[in-house]
Amino acid sequence: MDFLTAGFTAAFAPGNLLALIAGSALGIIVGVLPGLGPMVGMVVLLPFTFGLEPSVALSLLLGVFCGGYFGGAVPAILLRTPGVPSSIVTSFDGYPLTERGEAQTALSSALVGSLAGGLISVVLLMALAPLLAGIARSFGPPEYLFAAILGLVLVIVANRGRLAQTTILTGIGMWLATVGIDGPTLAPRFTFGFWDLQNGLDLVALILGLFGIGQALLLLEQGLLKTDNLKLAGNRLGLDHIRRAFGYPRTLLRSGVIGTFIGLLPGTGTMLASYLSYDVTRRRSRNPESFGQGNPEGCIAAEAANNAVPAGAMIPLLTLGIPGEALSALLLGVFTLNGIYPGPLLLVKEPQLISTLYWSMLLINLISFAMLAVLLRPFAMVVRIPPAILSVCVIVVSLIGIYAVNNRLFDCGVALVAGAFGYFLLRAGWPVVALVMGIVIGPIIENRLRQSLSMGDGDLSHILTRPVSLVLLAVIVLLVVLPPLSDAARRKKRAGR
Amino acid sequence: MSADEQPQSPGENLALALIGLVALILLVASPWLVDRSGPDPYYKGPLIYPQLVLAIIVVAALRPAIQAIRHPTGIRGIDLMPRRSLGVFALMCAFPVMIAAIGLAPACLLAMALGLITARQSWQRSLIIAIAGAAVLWLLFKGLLDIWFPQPWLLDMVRG
Repeated sequence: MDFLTAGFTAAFAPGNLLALIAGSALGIIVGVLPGLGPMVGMVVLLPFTFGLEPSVALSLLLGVFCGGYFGGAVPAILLRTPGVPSSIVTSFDGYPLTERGEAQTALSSALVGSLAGGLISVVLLMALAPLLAGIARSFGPPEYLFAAILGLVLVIVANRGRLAQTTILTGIGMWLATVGIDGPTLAPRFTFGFWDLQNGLDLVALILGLFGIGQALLLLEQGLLKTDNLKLAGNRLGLDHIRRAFGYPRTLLRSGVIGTFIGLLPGTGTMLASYLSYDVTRRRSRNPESFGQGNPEGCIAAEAANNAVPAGAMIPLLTLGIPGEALSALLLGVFTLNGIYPGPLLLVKEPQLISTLYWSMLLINLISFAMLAVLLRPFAMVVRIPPAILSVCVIVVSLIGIYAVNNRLFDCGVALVAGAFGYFLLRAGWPVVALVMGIVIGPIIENRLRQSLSMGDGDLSHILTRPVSLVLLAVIVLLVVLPPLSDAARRKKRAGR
Repeated sequence: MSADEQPQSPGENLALALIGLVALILLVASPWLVDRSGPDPYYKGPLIYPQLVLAIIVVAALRPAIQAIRHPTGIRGIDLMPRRSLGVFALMCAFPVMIAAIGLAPACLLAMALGLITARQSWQRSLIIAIAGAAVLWLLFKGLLDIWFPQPWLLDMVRG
């Protein structure tokens, strides 16, 4: 319990508290701005974290991570333009409520949902992470290998509507991670004779280019922000509305749990969490037909689930060192930049840091909620910034930021090429997240594969004697085999009708 | 194709097939592109994993490639970036060169001002935002974070 107290004290230290407030505010701003989102906020902020204590840096970025989901609901409700993709589900009921002049009800429901989802997921993170870390402590290279492969398979299965694109993008990500000097053998790989490529392609440059620059170029082209119909009565949320939103305890709890467990699964993301929770709530409602017409419970379900995803995604990151999605992949980069290596031993080696992180996540949810409740109108007005100005500023800050990571102009070139690629991928609707997951999980798979092969002198059959490996392998096989079989059965049933 | 799988357009099939072709070339050339001079056995060496990954890409690209060959009709010219995005992107490609040539603050000022004008903002607004933006960025990165930036070679040349 001592580490929990120490973490509590550290979370309330002035520097950390300031980072939490600044991160949450920035997160809300990038969340409110459609087309940007927490990913862009985090990558732009990354260079500013280098001189900070690891716990402060993580609190700042976690603030953006969680605050973004809070902010995303605001334009979804007021403009029917989601700030983050998953908030589109919030707009199903939020916008009809706004049209009926009940924007306060919609916003209160969404924000109370976000708060409850965030808090429930942090409590689950505190309870589940040590359990999983305990299991993960018995992991050897083969178990890690299959856990990492499982992560990628889940990304591919989650995007099976675009199976070829997802598999190829994952493969490209895995290949890009091999460029440069190979760690164990010191052999140059795919450097094509360029000195600059010997250091490999910087992870931050690639992610920043794909998401930051790519998204900014898309924003410039599409001019997503529509600000003509922004209506908001009052500067802050009314207490009555907030109290009424707490009148759905079952929905709040169920959606928070759904969001946390969806967050556990790599690559599935907030969109699935929001939609699944919304659908379950609608089915269980006595008035399912009122959903989509302006039912506040719909806003609660969607927001509670999507705001529970960040803490859920932290569970595999902290216990296995395997990120759940692109944002936690970036957090993994921040951990390693600060000399912290996530995995089962992290909870033993750095209990105070982890405890600070838990408390920080709790505080971020409370701070983000309080900020939006009190300063609703100023935050909502951020959408009036012209997208062209935003885009140019995001690209310039991103490029200077990426230079600042390694003091290499070459990395700016990498980010620009990745940005152009990201722009085309985003425009075509291809799953960019698969590429990022390939880049991040690729090295884990390579290291563990070579270790596993070395254990058996080039033979992998020894893994069949390890129960955890076998279970993970069975899950992977089931995930690969079951979807096509169920699709075939569905087709057969349809043909038989 | 699974029931939930979205059909790919001919253009998408062609793009995937081209990626597959590049992966195939890299796979074939990989023994020459990866230094294998170390004493390690193959299973510990640097080549096994990239070859596996490239093989996965090639296999995943097979079906789109077959579809692209079977149904080549409908492939139109690739719709590249619109002029405005392309202009801003080209400017931003020059931005790192500008930092090396004229230094951080002037490069930020120039890139932001020209970028905003290209993005169809009025020149007065562009200039004000660029001056403010350049000042803030200079203060943050040079003043606060003390990041090292290369000595501007163009200014050095002018100064002699």
